[in-house]
Amino acid sequence: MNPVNPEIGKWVRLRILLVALGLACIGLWLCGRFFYLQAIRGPDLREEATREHQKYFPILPVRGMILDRRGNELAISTRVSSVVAHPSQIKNVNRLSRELAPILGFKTRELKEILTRARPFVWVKRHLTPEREEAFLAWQAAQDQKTPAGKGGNARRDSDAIYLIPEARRYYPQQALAGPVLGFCNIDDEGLEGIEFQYDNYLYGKPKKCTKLLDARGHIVVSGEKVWDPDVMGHNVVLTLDRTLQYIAEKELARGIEKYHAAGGLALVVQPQTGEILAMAQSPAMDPNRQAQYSEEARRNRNLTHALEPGSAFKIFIAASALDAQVVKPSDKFHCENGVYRLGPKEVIHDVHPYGTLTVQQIVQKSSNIGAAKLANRTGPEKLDHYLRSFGFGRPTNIFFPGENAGLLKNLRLCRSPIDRATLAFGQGVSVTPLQMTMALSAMGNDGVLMEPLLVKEIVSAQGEKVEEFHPRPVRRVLSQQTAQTMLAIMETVTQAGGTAPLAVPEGFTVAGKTGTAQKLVGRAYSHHKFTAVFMGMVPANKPVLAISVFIDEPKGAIYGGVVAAPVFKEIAAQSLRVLGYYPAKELKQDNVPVLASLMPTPAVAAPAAPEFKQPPLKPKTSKEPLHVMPDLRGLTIRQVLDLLHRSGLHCRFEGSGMAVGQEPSPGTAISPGGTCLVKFQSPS
Amino acid sequence: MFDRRLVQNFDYLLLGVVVLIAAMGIVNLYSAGFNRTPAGATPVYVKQVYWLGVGLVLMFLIMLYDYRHLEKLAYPLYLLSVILLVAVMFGGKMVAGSRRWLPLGPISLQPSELVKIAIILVMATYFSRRPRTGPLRLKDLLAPMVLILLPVLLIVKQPDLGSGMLVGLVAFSMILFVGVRWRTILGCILALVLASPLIWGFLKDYQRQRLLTFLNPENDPLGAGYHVIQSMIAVGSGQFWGKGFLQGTQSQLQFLPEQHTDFVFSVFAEEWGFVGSAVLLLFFTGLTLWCLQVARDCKERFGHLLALGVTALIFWQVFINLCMVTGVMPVVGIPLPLFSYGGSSLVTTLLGVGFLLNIRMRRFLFGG
Repeated sequence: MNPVNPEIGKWVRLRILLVALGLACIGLWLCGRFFYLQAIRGPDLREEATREHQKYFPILPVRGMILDRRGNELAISTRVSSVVAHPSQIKNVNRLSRELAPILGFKTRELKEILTRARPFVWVKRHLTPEREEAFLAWQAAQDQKTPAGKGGNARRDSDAIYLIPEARRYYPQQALAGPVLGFCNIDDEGLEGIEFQYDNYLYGKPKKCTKLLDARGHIVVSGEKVWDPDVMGHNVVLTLDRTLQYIAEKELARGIEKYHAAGGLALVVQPQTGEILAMAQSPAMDPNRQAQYSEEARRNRNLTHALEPGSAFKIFIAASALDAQVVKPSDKFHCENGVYRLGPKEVIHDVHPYGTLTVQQIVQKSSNIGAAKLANRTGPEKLDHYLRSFGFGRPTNIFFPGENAGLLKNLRLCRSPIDRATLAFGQGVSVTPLQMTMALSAMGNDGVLMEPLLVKEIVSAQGEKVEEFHPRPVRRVLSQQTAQTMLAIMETVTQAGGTAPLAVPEGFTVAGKTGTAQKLVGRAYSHHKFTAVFMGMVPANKPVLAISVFIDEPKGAIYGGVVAAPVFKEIAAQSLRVLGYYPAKELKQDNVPVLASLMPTPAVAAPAAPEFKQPPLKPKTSKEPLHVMPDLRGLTIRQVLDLLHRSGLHCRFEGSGMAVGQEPSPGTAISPGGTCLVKFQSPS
Repeated sequence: MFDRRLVQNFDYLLLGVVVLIAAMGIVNLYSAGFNRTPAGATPVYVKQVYWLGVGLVLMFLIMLYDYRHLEKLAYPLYLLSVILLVAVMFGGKMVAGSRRWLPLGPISLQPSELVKIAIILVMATYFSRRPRTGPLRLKDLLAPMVLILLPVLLIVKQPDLGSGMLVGLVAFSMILFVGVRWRTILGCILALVLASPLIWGFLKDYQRQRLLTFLNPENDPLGAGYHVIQSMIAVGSGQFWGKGFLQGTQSQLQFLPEQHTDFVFSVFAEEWGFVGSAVLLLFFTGLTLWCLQVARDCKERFGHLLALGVTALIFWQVFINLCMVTGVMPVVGIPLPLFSYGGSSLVTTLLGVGFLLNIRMRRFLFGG
């Protein structure tokens, strides 16, 4: 036991005081260090912390659908999974390759090659089939059981370095139907051709980023991702095409081509009053699901990218110009030189059959080259140039589509050569697209007003709201109403006895049309073996509801438009009219009064059919009829509801996501187009 | 034997501060272990509560026993701890490359913690028995040096550089208080500088790595510098007001290393911000200053030195740990007393506080 130490006195107390002061200083200094780290560098360090544990992941946008005018799906996106890997994080490549090669359908060697590439990220296999996806998921689950994530220290498992990511894959359920119109996408879902390309901005959707919290091992702790996020879904593009009419046009075109062993062909069905394109067919067909197998030529929408010489079909525009300019009357007579018309020492025009004197009407009906040349001459280059340009030749139609060809129409006022002016009258030395021709023809069926071609009717968001609507737009008046009527009457004689195309008339209807048999240019000379057989016409003749043009490329056996193209026209017209609800006049009771609704019902704003006219079912399934009663939507998905209500003409507002749980108006309520409805959705969980 | 004055003189303030810090530590451990406890296991904060209980009981037991009798226990305890250190060298549990733990039935003992108490007692005993003859000269230091170096080297051998260093620091702090001649101090420093290359050679690879990392942490941000950088990010990202209880992203998402033990302060600083850190620092500073006050008020040499030893033990641990987590010092495995998870450390600290309370309540019993 020590005695109390007397020396613990002043000196020691002073020492303790000094130490205390020192400790206080150290405390202050540490406090300053905290302040420096937390208050001064705090914001920077917090940012650094955020960078560490917060990662942004892009959510793949889901491409919108392409629908026909009745809401049938022509292009949809389905969800598929792709396998990706981070090769640098894989330790045992051999084992992984061995295990996964059979699952993914590789040879072990192939997979090993992919997994040893010196890249931080590789696509191992894109767009897995459902079976492979399931097998892969099973493999992953087995790995998890072997070594649960997070166990075994900080070492990442090899199986974490290879995983599935969701992707959207484009699918064209109608296969080749309207293939070149729809176009196609690359594997990253970006539109490359056709509507897919032109409306990519609408279809592609909005890429979004979601935040995920990662822990120190890189495992996702919190994820803000929804598997099928409505925000990222692209808009749906509704075409003016009608799937059924498109099918008819493609089928009949193919049959015509087969019959005459032709190289190919084009067909267009347009509604003259609105300019809406109801069918746009071409052969050979192209299936966008397998677009890579086709040549670039086959993938092009040739109805508007391909300019050809129209041949005799062009005469109607010469005749219309002459009549509208009032330089001739339909009954005016021209001498047709008995088939041989000498313009100069070496310049001779021939007719197929020699004719003497023909009226204007007969020139068109019999398709006299010499008569047409004289008509053109009578009209004069200035007026003719004005009219032909009015019809839209030599310039693009402004259809919103990639690669449109403007065709070629030389300036007639500058054209000195009389033979050049003369041949133009029967469609040589001018190039046009089938679309230009069909639109110009439609102008005659639309009281002389040229319409802009419409291929897209509207753009609808994934939630069903209308984003944009495209209304019919007149370009200009080309002919007076009277000239247009006169031309219809003249063209009707083409399909009557004595005309070039009696084969074009579907039973019970009248057709106003014109044939053409154009020599193809081979090199710089006109071929005597290769022709384009053309028939373009409108039905019924007095008040057309459809303008249809058919171009058959290089038919063999027969070459004349009236023989080769006219029957195709007839089949397309007859079947299309039936689908649209127009029946031959004879089949109706009141024989002489053909009851024809001026406009066909358009599904999106379904106009009820004329009361005295019984609308037949458009399809065997009645599901596409306009809705008049609110259906029960409960339990349906957004897509199903959208499909169903598309026919109601209602403006829909959707809330939530998942399955429909509530609706307003309630099921069974009478509804009329233009009303509104509200549908509530909830995730089923 | 029991005196009423002992109760009257009981230092409630000291006990209060210690329990308060320990309670804050437990709340913080709740957060540090949040979402990280495997199913079925006892969460660390619960274990820490048990240890706090054990420590407090030991502390009260030691208070009943007049501290002056501890002098007799000093050398036996010292001998015991050295024997345990030797035992741990052979029978110790290997954890993360070093033998620091001695399994004793269901629990493990860390002999290096016992050494901390023993060395304080031995130093206090040695110098209080030694007749005072002015400042110490070099030859006066030889015997204490042997007493210090024996356990220190054994601890460093484990290897546990941090604890070894700490024991040495505490002992030398006590010697400095006793008083050493300036010449001797300067000579020692000079010798240390000259010997540093030798020490470098003596260090393990990972220890050298730590020192190099400290000098330039960004050199290898995912390797050796990872701990320091992550700790600084966690502390700094707490900013002024903190992210809130259980809201610390860096700790909850497991970016922090050793977040129950050595880096427990980073968890606290991230969630409570500068304000919380400053308050905690104030408590610790207050605690050490109050410990000094205990030493100052003690009229008796053994108690005086004992109190100084405990003060040094608390101060150095707090100082080194805080410097380490804020990136001012290389990473050495020194826990934050009362705050870090760890039974041995908590009990040792509470025993030390028990000495202080013991000294404090008996300060009027002699002389004064």
